[in-house]
Amino acid sequence: MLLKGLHIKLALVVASGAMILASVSSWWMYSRSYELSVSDSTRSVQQLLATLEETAKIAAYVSNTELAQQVVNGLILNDIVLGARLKNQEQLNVVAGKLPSPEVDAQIHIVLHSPFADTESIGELSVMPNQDLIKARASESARATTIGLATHTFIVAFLVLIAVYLMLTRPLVRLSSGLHRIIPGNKERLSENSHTRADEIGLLAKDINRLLDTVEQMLLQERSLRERVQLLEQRFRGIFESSSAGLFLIRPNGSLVTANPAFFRLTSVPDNLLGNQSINCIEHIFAEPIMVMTIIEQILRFKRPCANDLRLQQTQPNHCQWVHALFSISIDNHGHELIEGVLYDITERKIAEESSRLLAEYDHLTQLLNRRSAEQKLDLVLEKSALNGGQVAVMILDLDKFKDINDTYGHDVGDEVLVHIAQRIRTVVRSTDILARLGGDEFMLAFELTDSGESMHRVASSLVDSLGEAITVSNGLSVKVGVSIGVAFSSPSTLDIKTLFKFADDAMYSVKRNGRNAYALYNNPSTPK
Amino acid sequence: MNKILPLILFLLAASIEADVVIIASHKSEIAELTKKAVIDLYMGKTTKLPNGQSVQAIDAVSGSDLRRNFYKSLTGKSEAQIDAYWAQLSFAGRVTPPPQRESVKEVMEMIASNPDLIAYVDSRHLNDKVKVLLRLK
Repeated sequence: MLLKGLHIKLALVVASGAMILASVSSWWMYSRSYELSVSDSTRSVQQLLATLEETAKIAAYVSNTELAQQVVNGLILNDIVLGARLKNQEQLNVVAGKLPSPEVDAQIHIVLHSPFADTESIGELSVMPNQDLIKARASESARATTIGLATHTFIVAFLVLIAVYLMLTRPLVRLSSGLHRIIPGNKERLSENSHTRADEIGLLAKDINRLLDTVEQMLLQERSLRERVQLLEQRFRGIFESSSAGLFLIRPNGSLVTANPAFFRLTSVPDNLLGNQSINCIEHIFAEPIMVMTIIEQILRFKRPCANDLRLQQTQPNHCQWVHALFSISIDNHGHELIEGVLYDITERKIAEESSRLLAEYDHLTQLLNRRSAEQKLDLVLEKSALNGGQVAVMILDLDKFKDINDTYGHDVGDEVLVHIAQRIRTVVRSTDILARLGGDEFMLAFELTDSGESMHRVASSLVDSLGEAITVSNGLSVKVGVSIGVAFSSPSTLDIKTLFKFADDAMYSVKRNGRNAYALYNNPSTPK
Repeated sequence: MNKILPLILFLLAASIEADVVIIASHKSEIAELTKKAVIDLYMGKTTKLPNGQSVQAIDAVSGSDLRRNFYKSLTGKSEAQIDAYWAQLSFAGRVTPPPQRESVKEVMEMIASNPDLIAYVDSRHLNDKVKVLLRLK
């Protein structure tokens, strides 16, 4: 459509230009040529008059009718002269042909002077030109000129049109339709026609081809780049989807942006929270949401990632899950801050850690603290009480006649007795007290004094009572042991465990010496009354 | 001496010849003529004077110095032009140029005897039987 339009438009423009030019110039040429022709005729008439002037003068001078007749007759022999009149100031008035009126404008006259005195006018010679003939000839001549000019103009216009069509429009149309067929990025190119190679159209074709080369190259590059990006994206998506780590993205208000399947497997977050912008999912994920929110605030404030071991919200009772959570800031496409979280399930490790901690700190048989961990805990308590001026009571308990049970019934029964004893001690003491099996049949109890010693006496006597009662072991056997308890109090001068243990031991041995199954206080000047 | 005399005479004549005079009989009623009137009479425009008197002009013979001088002085035209003028008029008919007389003596006698004639002569030939109507310089 557009291609057809170009040369039609051009033809229209050239044709109308030629038409306007031809009509304007024809009109001008016609009037010009007409005027020229009319004035030519007038001049011819004047020249005719000039040739006969001398004779006319003579005729007028002598008033000679015959000579005058000759002159006017001679004049009307010319076809551009309709009529002529020669008259002088006397009676001479000779007319030939048609002379409508002496005052007609079209008449041409010359004043006749005396042949012997140039200044003396003696008459006039008038001629009536054949206006119709002159006009007809003028029109004919003008028409011929005009037609010639118009024809010339149209021929030139036509030639220009053909030249423009052949040299410009057609190559352009070819170029244009060629370009129209080509899909950018293809191998197809415009044919660089040898005919137009040297001119601007050839240059244009070359430039277009170069442009097409560039476009193709760019498209190829972009395609390969896009394929790589897609591949990468697939891989990343694969990693994201199949990762065993729970990956998630949340807004600062805690609402979930996205998360991978591992995240949902790991946590108790329902799927429908995904994309919900108002619900804070932190409390669905973690057992201590307030702490996590604080961590997130810190991250946002200091712009630094943070890693923590956190406990997840319990999905089943007695099933505690732990994760190692790594939080960092991520910026989305709109420049908003998001928090990126990675959760590793560390429940197994936590359990392992817990059991190894138990193994290290507790006595395997009685589940009481062992000596080493008891000493550590006691150290902390002593430091604390020294700071706030408190006192710590340390009791060493040694079972009476336990060796006999071992010897008589065997170690299995002995062990069973120890478990029972440990259980009984537990029922007497508070959970905050430090209770340990120091080894064999020796136990230790330590606690901070909250009064002036009454509680210690109460505990010690109830221990002596409780442990002195008969124990029924699994095979129905009933055995009986006792306990000897030595007590020592900490003081500013006796803060080390060794000394306290030694004091308590001394007190315990004094009980053993004095008949067993009782308790005794280490006799020290600093002990409270 | 015989050869020198005509030369002297000629030179003398030439020195006083400058004027051509238009003459009429001393009996003529014409006192004088204007140049224009002389032209009209000699060029065939009229044969009458403004007062109505008919007058016949006598011309000198063609090719003479007198005639050449006369027309040159009177009209400023050459003899050939004057002859062409007459040829045109004569061809058309009716009008004839003034009659030509070769002899000065004859002219002088014709003028003296006929008061209706006028002629022109060299001023040297003037006598008391004629009077000068116009002197051409």
